[in-house]
Amino acid sequence: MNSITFDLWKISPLICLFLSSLIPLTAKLFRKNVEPHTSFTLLWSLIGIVGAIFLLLIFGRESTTSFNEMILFDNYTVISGSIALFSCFIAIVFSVDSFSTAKNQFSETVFLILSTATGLLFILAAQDLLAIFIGLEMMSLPLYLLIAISNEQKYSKEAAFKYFVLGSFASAILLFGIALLFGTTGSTHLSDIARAISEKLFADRLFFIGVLLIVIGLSFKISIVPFHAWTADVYHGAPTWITSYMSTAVKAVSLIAFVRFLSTNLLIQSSTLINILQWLAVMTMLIGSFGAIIQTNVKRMLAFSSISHSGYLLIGLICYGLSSTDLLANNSILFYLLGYTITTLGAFGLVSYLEKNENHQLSLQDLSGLSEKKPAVAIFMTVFMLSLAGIPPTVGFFGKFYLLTSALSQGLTWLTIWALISSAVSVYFYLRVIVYMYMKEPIESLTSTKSAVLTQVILCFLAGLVIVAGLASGFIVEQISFKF
Amino acid sequence: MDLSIVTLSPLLAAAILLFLPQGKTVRVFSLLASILQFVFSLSLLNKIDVNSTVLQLNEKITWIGNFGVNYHLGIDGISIWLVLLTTFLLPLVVLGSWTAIENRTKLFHFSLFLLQTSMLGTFLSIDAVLFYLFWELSLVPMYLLIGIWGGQRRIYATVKFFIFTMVGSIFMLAAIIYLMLQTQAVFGQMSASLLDFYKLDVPFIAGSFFSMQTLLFFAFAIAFCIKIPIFPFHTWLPDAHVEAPTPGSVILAGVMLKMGGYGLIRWAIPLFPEAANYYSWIFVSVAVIGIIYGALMALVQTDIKKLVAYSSVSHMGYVVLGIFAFNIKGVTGGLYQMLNHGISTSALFFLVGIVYERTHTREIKNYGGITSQMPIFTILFIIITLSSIAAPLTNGFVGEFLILMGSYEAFPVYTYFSVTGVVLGAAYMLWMIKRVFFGEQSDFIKKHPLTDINLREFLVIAPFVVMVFWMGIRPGDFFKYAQTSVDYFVKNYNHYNLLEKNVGANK
Repeated sequence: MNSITFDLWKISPLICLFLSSLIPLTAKLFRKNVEPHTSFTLLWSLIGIVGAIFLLLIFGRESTTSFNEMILFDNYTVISGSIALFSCFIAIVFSVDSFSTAKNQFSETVFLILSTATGLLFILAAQDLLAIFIGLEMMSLPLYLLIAISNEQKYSKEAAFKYFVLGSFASAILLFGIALLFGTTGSTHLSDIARAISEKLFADRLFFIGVLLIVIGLSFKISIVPFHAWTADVYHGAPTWITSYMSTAVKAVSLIAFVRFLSTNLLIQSSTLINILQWLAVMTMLIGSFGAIIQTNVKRMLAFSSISHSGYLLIGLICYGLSSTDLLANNSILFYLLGYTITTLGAFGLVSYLEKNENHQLSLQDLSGLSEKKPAVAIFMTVFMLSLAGIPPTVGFFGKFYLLTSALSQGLTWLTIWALISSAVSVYFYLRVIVYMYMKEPIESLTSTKSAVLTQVILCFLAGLVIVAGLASGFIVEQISFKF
Repeated sequence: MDLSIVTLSPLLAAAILLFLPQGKTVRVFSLLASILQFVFSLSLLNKIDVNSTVLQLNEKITWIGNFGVNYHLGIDGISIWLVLLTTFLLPLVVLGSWTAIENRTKLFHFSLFLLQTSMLGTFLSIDAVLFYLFWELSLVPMYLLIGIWGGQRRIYATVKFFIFTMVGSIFMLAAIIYLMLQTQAVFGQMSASLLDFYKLDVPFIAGSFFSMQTLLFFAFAIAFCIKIPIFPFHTWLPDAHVEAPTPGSVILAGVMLKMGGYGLIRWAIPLFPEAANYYSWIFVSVAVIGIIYGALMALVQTDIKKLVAYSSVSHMGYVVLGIFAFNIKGVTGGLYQMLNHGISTSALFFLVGIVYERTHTREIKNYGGITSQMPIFTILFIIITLSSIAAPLTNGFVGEFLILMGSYEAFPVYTYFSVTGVVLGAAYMLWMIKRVFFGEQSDFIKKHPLTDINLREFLVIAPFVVMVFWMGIRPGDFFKYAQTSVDYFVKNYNHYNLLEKNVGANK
């Protein structure tokens, strides 16, 4: 096998995703712009995603680089790629049952979302800062469109514009940081930077500013405080199924980009950077938790909860940065991502299921007495909320447990205590959802009455997965670390 | 298998419940299932060896291999009675809520069974992560019980209950993780087993609050003290009790408070003996404050249920006093008092629930002279009251007397103060009896004539009355199971170590 075919085989998951995303669109073209049947589009997206995961599992095992060491498929790529693609598919299914997209632009929607998924995989495999940047753009551009895709929703255009403007700023900052790093180390490749990093380099102001700019650019994508201001508005304004995708896959992948950046052993050399990241984590957790307390809109509340979870993920990131070969740190990031993804997908999916229409601002009031009207749905929501709050035996608890074990084993005691305080605070607003569902009198049917069988099945599956993945966490962690 | 059957069978019952129709079927099924579970749990008495201090009927399955976390259950003389108390109460709770809980019966019994599993799991877990899992899980069903079927301010009460307990236990989680990392450092292999934790020697520096052992001890002890609850962490309890429905109060007072006391004996003290010893004065003094404060608060309550709730604070103070005496009398008394409190306070909550169902008021001033209308009820109430104020021949006497003897040996001055609690206890209970049962009939009672208790209600209370006298007259029947383990605990808590042995290898 010569090198070009080898390289192409390596990126075959990306190719598979991209080609399958084109099929419904092409079919529409040849049928005089008549939308193909929903199940046809859905089937092709499923084929594309399953095929990509399958190819990932085949070619990701060897951990070899391709394209002049620009691309590396390793454990992180495979596991977080599978998580991201899983959440991509679930989001597509949610979109089938929501309103505007199913009508006449479903094939375009699927094309766009699979394009972002291609970008996701590209980031996950990138070994060069420029490749990461390209991947981020590949992911973000279709995403801006997706947020604005809803015809009915009032806020979606505003949200898309806000995200676009701020996202462009963040990209520019990131790019400037990369430029400064190139200027000081002479390369944009991560392994070259890792080799060049020394204490002397950190004395170079330019280098340090470059690093900080990259941190800011990536923090924006993961919505780390104080770069989080867009999160609540955009999550709130976007169609809910897109929010479920953004808050899981996009966040997970941006986090892995951060992991790649820290794999250069930056943190070991600079205690200033450790301190900065620690305080970012503390602020993110606390502002996320306290911000969620004052929300009455369920989607905004979940947006703040997702900010606070970014803070926990940042703890995992710091542990990884301190010791990138530590099995515990690696596993805890991946397992937390898995748990967070399952739970958040479920929570947003439920919101999307309960909304009457795309403009419906689902508030906590609307959930009143849900347990009597829809007992099964209320149980699912309870499971998701308990998992987000980190109460056993859900996957959220075990995620937090691994994360804190990893943090304590790195000696990050104060960070752990802040994390515990924040999770104690967050219990309050997660419980409030249960209070409304179970303990308030039912009010006039404010929630949707649509059947949405597919969504219900998925929600049931996710709720089961939250418990099962929690109880089987030991097994899952072993499977994750097996491929190291 | 025995312990797993006891622990997990309620979960199975809860799963079956989901497929039954609402209403009576659910009640009958729950009653049968809970009686069956109680009968089965009685067989544990035969299966354990009373003269052995080892951990018995062990069950160990690897759960999270990398972390050394196992599904590990075990029982000994300290936990057996708490397990039986738990299984004893459930059928009575189901029977007692027969007419009180009318809506959403399925969810109600589902929560009861889930609660049952989590409480039993807490008493039987030998693995720290499993223990924490059951400990936290128990919050969720109780949260629902109070929040759905509770009174006016139920949501405030239930959220307060949840947040208090959660905040306390969250630092216990950090301590557990720290201990697990220590096992890795010391033994080379991470383990979450309590038995391995016992072998750790966490450094202790007398006088320095920030020495590791002290911090870990307080992380555990505060979680348990909030649950017990010890003054000043008790404020959630009166709220929770007043708002909770009768079955919720019964389980809360009967079993959940004991999880804290058990945690002290099984976890906090033997794991961190030096710190426990050095700081015992803090616990003893807050226990004494709790005894007197709880009694004084009970004295001024106008709501019967709140009075019983504050009496709980007072009684649980004795438990802590006994445990921190670190002698055989004190610890045995503390353990016995936990059972007594589980019997007498549960029965009191049932009795209060019985009149509340008839009148829908708990204000003492609305009652008066109800003896003539409810003679049998009055007799039962007075018997249980005597148990609660520790009159001789009742179980309360045995426990309280042992605790006071034990604590007198250890710290006489504190004991002088705590004895006032006995007097105050008699005062508030008897005064309440006088105002509710005797004297002039109030206008309210004249307008709402009461009927005496029916057969179902009698069947709920009768087992408690039997237990009150049995435990009061023949305490030896109960002591013999716990004695060996308590002796061992008191003599060796400084370097506590439990061996694990299967009953098969033992006999």
